[in-house]
Amino acid sequence: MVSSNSGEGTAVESAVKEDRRAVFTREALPYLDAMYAVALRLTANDKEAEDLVQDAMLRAYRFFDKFQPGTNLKAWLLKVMTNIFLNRVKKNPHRPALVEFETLEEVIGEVDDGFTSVSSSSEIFRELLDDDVARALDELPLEYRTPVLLSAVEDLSYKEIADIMGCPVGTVMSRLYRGRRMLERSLKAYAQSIGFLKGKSVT
Amino acid sequence: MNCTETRKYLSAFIDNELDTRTNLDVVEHLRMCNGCEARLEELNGLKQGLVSCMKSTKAPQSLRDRIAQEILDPTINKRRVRAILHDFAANGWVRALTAAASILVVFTLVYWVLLRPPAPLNSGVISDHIAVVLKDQVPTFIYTADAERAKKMALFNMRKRPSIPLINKKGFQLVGAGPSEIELRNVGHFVFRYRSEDISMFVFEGLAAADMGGTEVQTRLGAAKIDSRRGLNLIAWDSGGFTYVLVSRMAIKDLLDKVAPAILTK
Repeated sequence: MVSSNSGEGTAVESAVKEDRRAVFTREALPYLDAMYAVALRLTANDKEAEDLVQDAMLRAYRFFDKFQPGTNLKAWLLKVMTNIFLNRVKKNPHRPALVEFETLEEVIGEVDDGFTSVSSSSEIFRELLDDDVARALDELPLEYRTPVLLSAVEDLSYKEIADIMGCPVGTVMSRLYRGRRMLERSLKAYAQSIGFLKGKSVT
Repeated sequence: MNCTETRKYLSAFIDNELDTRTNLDVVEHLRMCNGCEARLEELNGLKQGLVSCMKSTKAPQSLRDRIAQEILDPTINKRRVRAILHDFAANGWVRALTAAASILVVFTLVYWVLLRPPAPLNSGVISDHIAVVLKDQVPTFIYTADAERAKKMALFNMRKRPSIPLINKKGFQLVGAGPSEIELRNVGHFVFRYRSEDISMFVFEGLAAADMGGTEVQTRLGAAKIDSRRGLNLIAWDSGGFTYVLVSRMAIKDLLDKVAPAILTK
């Protein structure tokens, strides 16, 4: 009796496990490209990005029962990964301590930021290479880079981005607004430096 | 809705994240305003550029295989270790001893490369991308990823150098530094530790302290602004063409009396 019971238990257990493996492989693995794309821009290093994605996928698999079916799986996977990444950043002793940027924004943001729109057409951004965009992204402070990256991933709402970053929706909105402005500015400066804007009246 | 307001909302507008009311206001304004319409085009272009950049990035096949394999068989690593141990046992204690010796060598190497306490900061690598070298007590940043860009970006694009003497003296320890950007300004970010409290110092070109919010006080440094927000205390002052901002959980009084003079005094 006892042995048959335990045998049955193991069979059910392994069937459940089998099922989880199949579901995870079918549902989660297709998001690997999106996760890698985010990881690559978060870490700005391909080896680190690969490690990050691998750790995130394995942790997500281990805790897959915590995922609520019917919600956005891609958002959940990205949250698992972003958490791992931010914990690593905080632990790195060589990185300047993260101060609350909100506070600094309040203070330093009040000073004129000297932003003037360079007259140019939206074509520039379409013509720039993916590499140029990637380089400009890597230079954005992490606080702004994260929402800008996530907003470029398809099918993520501000609410989901806020959940991934662990901040209010309003913060996502304002950081996106500022982050995009910074990015725009650095891309325009770059476009100008490679002579892209030559011939157009940029004064 | 005027242009300033509209532009603030355009970023959320292109993401379809505005409430119906605000959305209508923005649409209404865009219908009449060519300038904002052009801005919208630019933002849309930027977003498309970003989406294309993200979409063109594909995970390497080796990573895909590795993950698939680990999910298929999470014991794969354990089994590898067990196989190696089994090998040792089969081949007698001499092999095992050799292996133990080589493991020791590897550990020593790992210790030296990874776990050894970091070198003092007067010359060293701060992160994968930034190297800092102290020259005459002035930290100079060098981006290691690309030497050409490093030269251009050394010392966070400032034309002049801020004076930061007496680092690591008077009980202060410089624990980190790096170029940073706040509201599109190039800013130097230094983190000091003083009696187990962390203090962030931001330095940027220009005399901006006078324009900041907060209360004006007279100090040994001259006029300074003090403020407290979200549990952080803050003091800002202008000196030698630069604005210095100290941020810490330390009391304002300590920041004023102990920290600021120590950092500024030559």
